[in-house]
Amino acid sequence: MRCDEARESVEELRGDALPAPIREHLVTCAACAAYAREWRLVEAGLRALAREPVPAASLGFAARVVRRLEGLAEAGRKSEELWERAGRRFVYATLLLALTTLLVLLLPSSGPLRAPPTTEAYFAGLEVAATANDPLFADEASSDFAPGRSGPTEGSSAKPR
Amino acid sequence: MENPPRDAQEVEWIKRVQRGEGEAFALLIELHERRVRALVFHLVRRRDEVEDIAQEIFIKAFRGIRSYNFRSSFGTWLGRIAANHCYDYLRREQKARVSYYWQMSEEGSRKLEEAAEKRDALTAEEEVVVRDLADKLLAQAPAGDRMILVLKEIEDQSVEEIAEVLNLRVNTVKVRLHRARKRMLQQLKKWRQRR
Repeated sequence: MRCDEARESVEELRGDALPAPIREHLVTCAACAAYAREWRLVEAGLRALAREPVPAASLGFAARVVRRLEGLAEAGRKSEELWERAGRRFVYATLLLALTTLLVLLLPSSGPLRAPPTTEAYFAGLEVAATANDPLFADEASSDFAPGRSGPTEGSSAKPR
Repeated sequence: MENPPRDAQEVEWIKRVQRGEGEAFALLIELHERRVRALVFHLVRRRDEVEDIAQEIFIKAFRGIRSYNFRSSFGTWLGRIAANHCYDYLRREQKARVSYYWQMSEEGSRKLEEAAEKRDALTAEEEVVVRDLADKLLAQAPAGDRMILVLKEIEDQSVEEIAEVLNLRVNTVKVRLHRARKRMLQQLKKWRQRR
């Protein structure tokens, strides 16, 4: 009989008498005999551990677990609501931004806040040039009738119509 | 057809929990609490931590209960969750200190071995010593060894049951069990040589 076979049998045959071939091997093999002795010692310890009383179930254990599960579920729901709210706000903000951009691109060019388009600026420039020397359209800055002045000043050649 | 009322009732409770009826889970806890506590205690060996660890195991079971497909018994499925959870815990655990065994004289420890070998009834004091020795040997064992030794030697599960809980083949369990015992005895020999 091989040593590993004998040792496995010694481990497995708990409480049972060892068969003759194994007993014979243990008589002739000192190493396996020592193994058997040591295993019996450890086995006795393991059996003693098995007999040790298990901590008693505390009162209300099941209820505590269920309460804890409910608490975890509630925390999960609150977290989901928070993300949902944040998500909605993000969507609204994005829509608003998209709408604003669209309006900016599509609105007509006229209006108080819009600069005149290029063609209008051109004709406006021509008009200014054409009327630059016309006394009728003289620079209002040098006129007696400029805002803030009460009447013609002395020496002024400009006469009101 | 054998269908004990308790099994049918348990199936009904499980289905209710799977449908979202959380209060039915309390009934399942009451049914399996003792077994889970025993397994946790034997693996972890800390009375003050058994309740917290057992709670965490049941919480994991609740979260995963929709994946339970009734192929194995609920107790086995729960045992698998418990074993995996305790395995993770054990991997973080620190090593144990010196055992009472080393405080015995040579004569005392020899007599103890003889008594154990003959399977004589040990005295209360001897029982404390061997229990402490086994406790310390288990504490220093790798988590996988500890798991399989506790299930077999302390929980007294069959090799087939252990195979189901640990999701292994029966032959694999046998081989691992033998190796775990051998390593434990090698550790005992090392401690003896240092004595």
